[in-house]
Amino acid sequence: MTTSFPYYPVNDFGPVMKGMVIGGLGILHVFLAQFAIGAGMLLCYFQWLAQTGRSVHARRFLDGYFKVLVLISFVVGALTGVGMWFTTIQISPRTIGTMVDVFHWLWATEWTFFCVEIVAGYAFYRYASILTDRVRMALLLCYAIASWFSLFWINGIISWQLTPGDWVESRNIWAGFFNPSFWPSLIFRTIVSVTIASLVACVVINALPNLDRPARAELIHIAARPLIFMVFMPVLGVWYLAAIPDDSRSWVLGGSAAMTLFFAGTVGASLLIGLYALIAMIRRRLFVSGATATLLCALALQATAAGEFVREGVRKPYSIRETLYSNSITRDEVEHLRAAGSVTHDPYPLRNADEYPNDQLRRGAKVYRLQCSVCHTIDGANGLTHLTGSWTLEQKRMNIAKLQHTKPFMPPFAGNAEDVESVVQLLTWTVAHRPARWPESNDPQTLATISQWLDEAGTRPGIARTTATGTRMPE
Amino acid sequence: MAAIFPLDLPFPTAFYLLLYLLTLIGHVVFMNYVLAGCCYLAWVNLFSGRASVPRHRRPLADVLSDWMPFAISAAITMGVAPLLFIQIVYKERFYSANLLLSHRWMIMLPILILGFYLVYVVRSWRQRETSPAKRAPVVILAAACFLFAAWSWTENHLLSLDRASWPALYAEGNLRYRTPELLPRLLLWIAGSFPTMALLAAWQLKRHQSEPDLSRSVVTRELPAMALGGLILSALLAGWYLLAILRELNASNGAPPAFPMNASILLYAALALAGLVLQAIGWLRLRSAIDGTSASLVLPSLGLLLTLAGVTVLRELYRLSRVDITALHTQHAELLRSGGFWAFLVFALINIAVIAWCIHAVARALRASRQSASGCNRFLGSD
Repeated sequence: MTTSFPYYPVNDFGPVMKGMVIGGLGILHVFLAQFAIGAGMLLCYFQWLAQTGRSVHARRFLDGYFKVLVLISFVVGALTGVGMWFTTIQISPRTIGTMVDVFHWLWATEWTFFCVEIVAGYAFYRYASILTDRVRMALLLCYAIASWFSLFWINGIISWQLTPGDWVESRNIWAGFFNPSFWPSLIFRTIVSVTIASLVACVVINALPNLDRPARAELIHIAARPLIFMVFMPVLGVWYLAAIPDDSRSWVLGGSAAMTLFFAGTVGASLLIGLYALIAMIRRRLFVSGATATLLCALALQATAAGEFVREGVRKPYSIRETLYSNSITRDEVEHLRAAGSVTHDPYPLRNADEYPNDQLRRGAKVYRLQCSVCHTIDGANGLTHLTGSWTLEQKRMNIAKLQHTKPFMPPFAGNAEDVESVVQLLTWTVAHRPARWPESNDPQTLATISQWLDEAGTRPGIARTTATGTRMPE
Repeated sequence: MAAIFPLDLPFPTAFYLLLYLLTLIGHVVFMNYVLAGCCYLAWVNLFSGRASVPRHRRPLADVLSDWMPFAISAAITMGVAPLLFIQIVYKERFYSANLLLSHRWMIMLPILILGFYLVYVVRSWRQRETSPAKRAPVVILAAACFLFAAWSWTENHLLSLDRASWPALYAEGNLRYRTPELLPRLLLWIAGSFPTMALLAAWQLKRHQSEPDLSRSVVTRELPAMALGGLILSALLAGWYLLAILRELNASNGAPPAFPMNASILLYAALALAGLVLQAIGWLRLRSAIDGTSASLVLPSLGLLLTLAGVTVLRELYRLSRVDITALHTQHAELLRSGGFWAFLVFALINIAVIAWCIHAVARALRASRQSASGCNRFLGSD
């Protein structure tokens, strides 16, 4: 049993859920990064068309498109990538710390590919006009391959969080990297990357000066060709769903209203893009104006956002499956904190201790801060007072003590009976509009009942453990 | 005799620390170029001078404006590796400092994005004349963005060393860590960035095709003055910083400042000092050189490498004197067994070769382009 627990300072984001903060930045970064990856491949294609004389306008598009790539992806894409590390530290330092511990050599490998991207990318950006077609193509290939490999490496690390596979038992890095959802997500993201790049290309083509409509139409038709790969997305989606744990899949397919809604959002948006691409662009039925192309990009952003939300959400109650819960507590530490109390040794005082009328409420605030605040606010987004609004006092006590059975995507409560009661009192006090006076609740019988509920619930999660082959194991 | 750093540490810890330091030096080189370069651009756009060619149109400002976006990209990319390794070596310390500075720390990201785009704007003005009223605010704001980043990193680093202050700082919700070390350390970094930028710019201007006379003048006059000034100022600020450190170390017992000396500090201080001397000699010789040839830049380059190596290690030795990572030695040993190292090594070697090829291909194309251009000029009789 663990005998110590690493406490970190926890920051408050007001009424905003922390998941929204990391989600917002993450979605932006993923969209821009995937654009950069797809752009590399699309640029190689256009360079080939240009140097083989298959398209007279390809070179003009190439130069304009590359400028967009450099100005957007090399700036915001790169900085939001670093920003993801910083933001993850803000939300869950133990999650990023564990990921770094396990995969630092593969992250370092990804970094070497970043270096190739920058050098090849800027070399093309600065000197393309004086380079031969052969060298231009070689630089673009270097850039495209390097950017795809950066996806390769990060995909393995990210997908490991949800499906760590055999790594849980063997701690073998390659078993964790090439985990059950690695291949479907890699291929899916590759297709998403070229899709985004194609859609952005349509915007750029419309913005290029001194191009007549037939020329634009020709370029748009060429840029849209990679969209044909979208036909594989449903198959890959099914493969991905089959690879993820049963409980995660069940939430996406109706078990959780929010997850199902976002899943439907990503599927719907992707379907709209695919249908429009098929009719309008590939079959040359319609001319895609700048406004339409921008709208399609916005749909792609929405699909990305919803998809990433689902991918993150279905990891619950874990941030790293079988290893670390969303609130940065490990499975073994639950037992320790049940015995010792979750905030007994927390060195960080409350920032607004004077606002609470008694020590029990202050304790409740600290327990909430440690265990709940990563995903909930008190009375803002995903607020605890809203979620528990219909519960009686007794129901609050039992449901929180048996948290992992109240909602299977919740982790087990990692504290003792006093911790449970302090959170219950905190929520009740908040609903009562935070009066200046509030009696402490220390009834021994109540605490004994809560302890009994905690024992009945146990320290294991409410979801079944799954092996790498998908076999559900008893807890 | 006590072992010299890093030999005084267990191999896994020493290994990760060395990787951190080596990659940090790579990041620092580009970061210094950005920091000093943007400050210089702000200066010359505010004070253009009365010469026939205003300062902001001269070769140095031109080359800095032209290459600044790439330098920022390189600084960011090269910063990823030390960011990775510092999490392994110091984990809790680094994370806690980030968390304590919270929004004040996170705001650095949009500010860096702003600075990056402003630098692109400055670059776009290279080929056309713009009014000082339009130019100056943009370059000053860009420089301010990178100065803010420098301040944030300095504060973050110093906070990570002061565990005792964390609970109180957290309770205050202040989002700023005040320490007497902050200002001298930050100023030392800023002053020290100028010799790096001067050297890189000298190498660039050596190849500057337009205005060769002006470029030569910059390399043999302006850059040595800048570098020597930076070295002298750095030495003075280092003294101030040392005093600030000693006062902090001895504040509790009221004793006069006593310098904690050990063999590692002596060795790496000597290395940094030797580098400083080599740089000074190199720049002084450059001032009397007929032209800024490659040979005359070798000595200051070597000196800079020695100084960077020495100062980077000294910086780390100071951190290790305040942060006990003995408890992490076991964890470092476990991490070394985590797997993936050989994949990293193989791909690193491949990618170094790819990068070298990219640079070689462009250099060859540039040479061919210049030869073709001079051939045309001879044909047209313009030589």
